[in-house]
Amino acid sequence: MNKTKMNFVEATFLLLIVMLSHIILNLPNLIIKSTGSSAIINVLYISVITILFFLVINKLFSPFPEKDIIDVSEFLGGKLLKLITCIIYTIYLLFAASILIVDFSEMLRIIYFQNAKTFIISLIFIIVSIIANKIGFKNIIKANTLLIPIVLVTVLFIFGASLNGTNYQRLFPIMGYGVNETFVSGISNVFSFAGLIILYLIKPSLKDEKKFKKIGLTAIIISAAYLLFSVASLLFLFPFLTEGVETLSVYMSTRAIQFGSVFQRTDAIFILIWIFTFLSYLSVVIGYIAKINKKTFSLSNSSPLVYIARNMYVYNVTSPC
Amino acid sequence: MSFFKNLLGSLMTDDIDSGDNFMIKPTNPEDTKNDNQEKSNQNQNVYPSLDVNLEYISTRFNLLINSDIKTREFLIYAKNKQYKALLVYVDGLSNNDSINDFILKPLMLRNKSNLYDGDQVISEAVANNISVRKVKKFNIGDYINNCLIPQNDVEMVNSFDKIISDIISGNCALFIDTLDFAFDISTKKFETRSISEPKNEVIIKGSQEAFVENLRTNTSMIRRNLSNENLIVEHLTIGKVDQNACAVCYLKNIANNDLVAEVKYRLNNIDVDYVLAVGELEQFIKDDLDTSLPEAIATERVDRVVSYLLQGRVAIVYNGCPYVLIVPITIFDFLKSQEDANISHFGANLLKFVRAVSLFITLLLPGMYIAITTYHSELLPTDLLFSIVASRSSVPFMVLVEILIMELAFEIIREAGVRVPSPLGSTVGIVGTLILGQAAVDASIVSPILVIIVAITAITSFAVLDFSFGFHLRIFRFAYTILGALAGFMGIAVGMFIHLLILCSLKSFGVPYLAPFAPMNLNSSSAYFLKPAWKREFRPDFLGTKKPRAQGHMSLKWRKKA
Repeated sequence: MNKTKMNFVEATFLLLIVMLSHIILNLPNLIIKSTGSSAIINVLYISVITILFFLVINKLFSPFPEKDIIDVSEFLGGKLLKLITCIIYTIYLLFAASILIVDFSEMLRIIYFQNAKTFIISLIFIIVSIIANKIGFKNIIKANTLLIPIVLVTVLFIFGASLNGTNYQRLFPIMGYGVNETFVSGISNVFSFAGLIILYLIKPSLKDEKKFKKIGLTAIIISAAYLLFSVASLLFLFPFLTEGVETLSVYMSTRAIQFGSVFQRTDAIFILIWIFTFLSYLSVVIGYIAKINKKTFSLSNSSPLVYIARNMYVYNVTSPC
Repeated sequence: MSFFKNLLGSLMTDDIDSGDNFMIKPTNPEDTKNDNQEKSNQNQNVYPSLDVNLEYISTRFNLLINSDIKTREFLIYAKNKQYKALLVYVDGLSNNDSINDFILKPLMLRNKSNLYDGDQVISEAVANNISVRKVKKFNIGDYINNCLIPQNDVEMVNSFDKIISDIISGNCALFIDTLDFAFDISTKKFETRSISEPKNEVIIKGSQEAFVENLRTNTSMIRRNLSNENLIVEHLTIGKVDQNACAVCYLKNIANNDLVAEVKYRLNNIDVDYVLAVGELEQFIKDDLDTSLPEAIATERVDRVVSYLLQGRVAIVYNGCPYVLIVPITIFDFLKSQEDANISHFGANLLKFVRAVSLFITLLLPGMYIAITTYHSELLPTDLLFSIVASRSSVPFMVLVEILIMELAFEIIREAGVRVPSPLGSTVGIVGTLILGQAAVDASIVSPILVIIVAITAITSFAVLDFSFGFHLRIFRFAYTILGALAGFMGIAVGMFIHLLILCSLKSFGVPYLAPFAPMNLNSSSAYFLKPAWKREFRPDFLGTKKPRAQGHMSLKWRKKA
């Protein structure tokens, strides 16, 4: 049995960790800001578009069994295209993850560690991800399968717990800021599913490649549901989101939850869960950067690449400071 | 002046060099002189000369100074002839009556068997009044073995290593002049502790038998409780200096062949002078050597071993230890009790839930307390927060210091309570917990709420059943406490994430430590919570057993109406 192969659940959850991390941070907030009360319709709309987009990509991928985007690019454009794809992927993953981690660290600093520097908090995330990759990428995937159900349950919990304070009238006007904002300019919100980029790297790692389509669809549907619940809980709770509040949008919902006399506020518990999510996300991304580069440059050991990825992260994270 | 000179001289004298003090010169770890000497004694076969054999035995056993090794030289009567013979045994390990009545008597005293001088007729044919007899060629060794030693367990052995090893374990060796082998006769009989109730794994319903120190008694208890001819008990020896016996038990028609082979391979490849108990043995055969987590279960319960064998696992019985090792295991096995099988699945699952909650509490509570009171106080209701702040107002220490003092004090009390003689144990507990705890609160060294936290942590640690696993939790509790103090929930999350990854990376004899949850197997027949007894159709799939099904699809056949 190949130790590096992923089964259906592991692969689906791997995609989910990347997509959910993007959603947790600030996407519901941005969607509501751009579409208003039609945010839910917009979420459904971009979910359908993502599924269609995925089906097209899946069709294009089908002639290349057990090949990821790097292999396909080499097949189509030789080593040069392979190198370009590798660089693009590396840069995208680095920047996307850096921005995400810096934003999340900044939020943690604002909420809990006012005296600390964002850089230090980000550095903790990066160091832990390096340790995680040293323990093994396969183990990150295994741990991920245990974490994702908890993350998914939290959003349902938040939605359920915030039902008391919801006002369903906020769904109206149904088209929000207008049809144009919902369906035309709102199409840009499809980048909520940007984490799907990992999908094009996992194909050679699947135990059963025939499930590639099922994995992609499941991951998209679950993350769409997660996004829907996040947007709904936020939309129904607050009349509008104040300009300049660039914090975790779902976190705002958790602050509105009341549990009577047992707990005063439970947002810290959700933060705990989201820290797990971001640690797992960053570990996965660093692992994939190392894997891509190992493949492109035909290296036997990806371990030094993990450290290189760390250095690049540290550079990225510290450069705004 | 001379006084000071003498005084200084006496003070500066190196006592170590003075001739009247006994000193042991430390050994050099690289010194292999004795090893080579021992190796030269090994792999020697029995000599045909009895005198040479006696000399060899005398050297190997140091008979001149060894008082409990007995040799008995005598004359054997066989076929009406006399042969010189030598009997070697250990006084106290061998049964004297058995030696006298069933070895010495038949061989020494004249009787029908040893006086018979005729040939052994194999076959006889008569043709034309001529009788043709086929007689067996006389062989003294075969003759003695077949006719003169009325014992059930006799082996003809020519390796001195095997003979000596068996003599040490209670057999006696019979050497006969001119024969280049010895009779290895089982005459074991020594004092052992009788079978008693389990002391550390108490259950209410179910068997009340626990293992003892004797290997054969333990294997016989397993055999008695598992009536199946496929139960295999394979013997091995472990250790070069102390060649202790060990038995590998498994069900041949259920256990995975690769698993059994791996267990035997690891046990056969331990290059060590001695292993005293299964706890030590486990450390020699575990997959991951740098973890504080146990990768085998040590149990004293016979029924528990039997239930694991029936699942397809392998048991390692070790001579001299009343615990039996079970491999492979998962982390969830540490939260199981044999009681679970004996009560309804509703009750069992409640207990399993309680144990799981206890595990998290004992591991995380002190760290969580620090994190919440220091960083996340918004979690607590305002009244409770005020109460905590008020109770801490007179305590001069940081919460971390306060909690470390209490945790350390509790560990000391626990260690002292375990090590002192049992009548004093309860006294230590009462003095340590009640009197000192109250005094510490009164003296404002710790806050009352912290005493409650530490007490809950301690009590929940007892709900985690495995002693070795408890150690892991105790070590990591300190880590989480420090992480909670450093960065609140973020520190705890970081610790838990790395902890989880470590758990994911562990294996016990090829079985993932978190199976069947990581790697996730949605089709797995096993789960943490128990199904009803009639619905436990399958053995754990991660064991790769030869017989996955443990029950028929419809186990309650009596419910089928004709």
